[in-house]
Amino acid sequence: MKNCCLLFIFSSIVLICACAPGSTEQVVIYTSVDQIFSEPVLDEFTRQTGIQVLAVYDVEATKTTGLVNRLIAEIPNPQADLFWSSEFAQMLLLKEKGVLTTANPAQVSAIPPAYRDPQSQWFGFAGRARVILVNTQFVPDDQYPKTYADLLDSRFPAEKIGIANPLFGTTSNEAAALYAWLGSESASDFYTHLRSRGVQVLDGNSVVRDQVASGQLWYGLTDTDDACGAVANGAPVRLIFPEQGAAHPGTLIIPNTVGLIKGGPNPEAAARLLDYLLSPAVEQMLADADFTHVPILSNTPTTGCLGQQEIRGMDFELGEIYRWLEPAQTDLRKIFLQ
Amino acid sequence: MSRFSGLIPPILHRHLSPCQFRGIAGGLALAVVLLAPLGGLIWQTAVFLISDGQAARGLLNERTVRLWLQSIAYGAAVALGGVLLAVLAASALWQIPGHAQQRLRWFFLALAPLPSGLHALAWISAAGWVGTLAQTAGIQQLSYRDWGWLIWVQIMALAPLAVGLALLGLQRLPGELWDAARLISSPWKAFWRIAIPQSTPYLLAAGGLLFLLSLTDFYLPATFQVNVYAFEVFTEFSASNNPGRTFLISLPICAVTLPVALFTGRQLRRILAASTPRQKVQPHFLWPVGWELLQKSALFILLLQVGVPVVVLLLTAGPPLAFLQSVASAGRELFITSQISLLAAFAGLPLALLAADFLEMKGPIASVSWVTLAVLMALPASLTGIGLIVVWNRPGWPVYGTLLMPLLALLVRWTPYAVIVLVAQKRRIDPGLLEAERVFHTGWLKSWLHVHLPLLSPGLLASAFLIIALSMGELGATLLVLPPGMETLAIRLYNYLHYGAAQTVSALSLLTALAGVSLGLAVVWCFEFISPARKSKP
Repeated sequence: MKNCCLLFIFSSIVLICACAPGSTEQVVIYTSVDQIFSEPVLDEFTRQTGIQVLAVYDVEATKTTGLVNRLIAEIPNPQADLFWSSEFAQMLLLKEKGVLTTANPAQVSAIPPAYRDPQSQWFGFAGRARVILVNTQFVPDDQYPKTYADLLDSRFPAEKIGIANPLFGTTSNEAAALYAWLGSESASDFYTHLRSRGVQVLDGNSVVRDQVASGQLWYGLTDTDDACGAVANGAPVRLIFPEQGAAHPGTLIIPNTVGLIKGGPNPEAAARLLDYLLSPAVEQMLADADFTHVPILSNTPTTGCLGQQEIRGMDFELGEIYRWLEPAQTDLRKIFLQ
Repeated sequence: MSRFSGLIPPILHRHLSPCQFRGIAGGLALAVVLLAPLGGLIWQTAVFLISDGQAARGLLNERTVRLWLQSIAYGAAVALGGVLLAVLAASALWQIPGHAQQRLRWFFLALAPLPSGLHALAWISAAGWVGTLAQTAGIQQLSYRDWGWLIWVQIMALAPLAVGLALLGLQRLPGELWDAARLISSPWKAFWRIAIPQSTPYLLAAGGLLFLLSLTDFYLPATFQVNVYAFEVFTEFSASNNPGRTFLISLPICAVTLPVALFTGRQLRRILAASTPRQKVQPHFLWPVGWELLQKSALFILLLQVGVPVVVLLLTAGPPLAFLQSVASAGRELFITSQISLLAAFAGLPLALLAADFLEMKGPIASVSWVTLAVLMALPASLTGIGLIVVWNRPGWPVYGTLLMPLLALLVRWTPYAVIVLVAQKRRIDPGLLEAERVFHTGWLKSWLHVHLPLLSPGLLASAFLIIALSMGELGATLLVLPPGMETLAIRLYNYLHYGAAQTVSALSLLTALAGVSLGLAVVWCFEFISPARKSKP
């Protein structure tokens, strides 16, 4: 009898837990933006509208690529309504694969043409820049690297340089930009030399940041959000925007991008969330959280740990950079995975 | 009349006995739930190889071979280090008199299900503090993101399992053997010539489990930014979304984990077949000085194993209000984790019972069942998730994108361990009681409720709690199959650990630790103290 009661109680707990209260209106978003930044933004949307946001976040090591492959695999059976990416190349890939659909957000006119899709399938906002992070405890002021070519210079010891895996995330965007700028052969040589020098290839931009901040590495390629995180924690680091010289192409600015998924289960709620994300208020939230520092919608100078400074962005169309993504990935697979 | 005759369709009743029908139905259920992912992967791989004859070229190269060797060395180091620690600690604890010693083995086994991420957080934080102190003294901070630290923390995470099994082995030493050995040799010689050889199945099982658990999951290695083969499998699928290619890449590591799983399964069978000795050993002697020093070091390490996580988590979780706020912020993840863990336990028990029946059979069926169990234990966690996507991601099928996906992932991962617990419970049941039931049989429902269920209840509850405890910390398989908005606590902790949100992570880790220990103690309580009908004689 006692065992029957135990079984009954156990079953009841399971059933009660399984029968969770029914949900209100919902919207499903896949996002490669770090959960610590995107979650408060999505929670605020729920607070304002009452629409429950069901989010899928990505993990540090594979970043955007894992979610993108999941979206492509789900084409016959879409689960998501929107995709919010922390970069642009994978969003363009999704457009190419027919995953996205056209949208007409309210703020579309506030987005510069360079940062939105001509066919209105994706939209950019809240940019980050690629930077060289330097540990000031070990590197004197006059010995900061200022260009990508400096990373191949023997003045900068290779074992003290770190990059994130160039097959994933914003580092892959940076690689594609370098291929667009330098051409296939020179860019391939650059990465081959980088690898053969013994540069550390780490799990993600935050890992690069941690190791530079702690002094295990002296130089690292990372994003402004990771770099500013180190500054905020009081680490002895300095951000260098590469290629700012007159004869140089400028620093790669990577916008956040968002697009609607074709065939998503909740199109109306998705449109509302899209409008919300493409608003100066969200851009400000992300800047306040030290995630993005290069506003795109509100056309103001940089913010946060970057102060008020003008940064010259790389003079390439995002579409052109994207077209170099696959050739770059093919090369980089051979260089870094074999 | 057979208790199952009312359940079998007449057409089958003419050709199958109730037991045969139950066996076939049970086998099909096990095949669909537990083996379908592996079957799907093998099928996709075959299609991949047929469509591209050169598909396998280039998958094995210098880099992957090096990674494979490093991963094996890592697993072996964890296994050897853990077993050595276990032998030293268990030999010291073996001499504690009275019931305290009996309870100790269960105390350690109760700590076994604690998530490894908890240990990662604790030791990374402790290393950070030590590093900061070292820097103020002018000593350069050592990196804690390397193989050495990873092996240390993995041993810390798995030490309770090894120590518990080693102590169990010593406690199962037949007293008459020990007494006979003591008549003609010193305690030290008797320890090495009798006690250790008799404990060999327990030590080998501990080593095998440590090796498998190290090699098939990537939570700790990813946290320490050390690439291991299991993580390579995950990143390959994320990068290529090609299950066939991913499965081919995983074959080298499966070629290692499968024989180890088979070997470990064999040791577990030997342990389960062993009976409780009539006369137990009461060791009272002095160890050699050198050995005693090593024992004390091992005990100190065990103290650190418990103390470091407790101290670090308590210090970094913040004041009670902050702790509660952190817990509240993860309310949804707590609910989801509890929900799917409970569902996994509820769904896993019938499967485990069916599988245990197969394991108890004689002849080739039992052998095949043990091999199947070993295969499931040998699979890297991410392969389980990939296999589930291959099988269930189909338009119109109401499985993908629902709670069923992570539930299936947890069943594939943890049902084998529940099976072992249930087999152990079945071996403890007095066969005379089952004979009596067959003689006085009063209908299948009554006999199940009044005889079989009470006899099996300690094992069923222990299995349930074990599945829940292991499910709470699972990451590798569920990461790939969780539906939107259903993030588990383990994934939240893993993500936040990378961002360095120490207070939130510590608070949630503390909560996980409390839940894990409670569940572990519940497993122990069920198995050790609820025993309606233990065997009276071996």
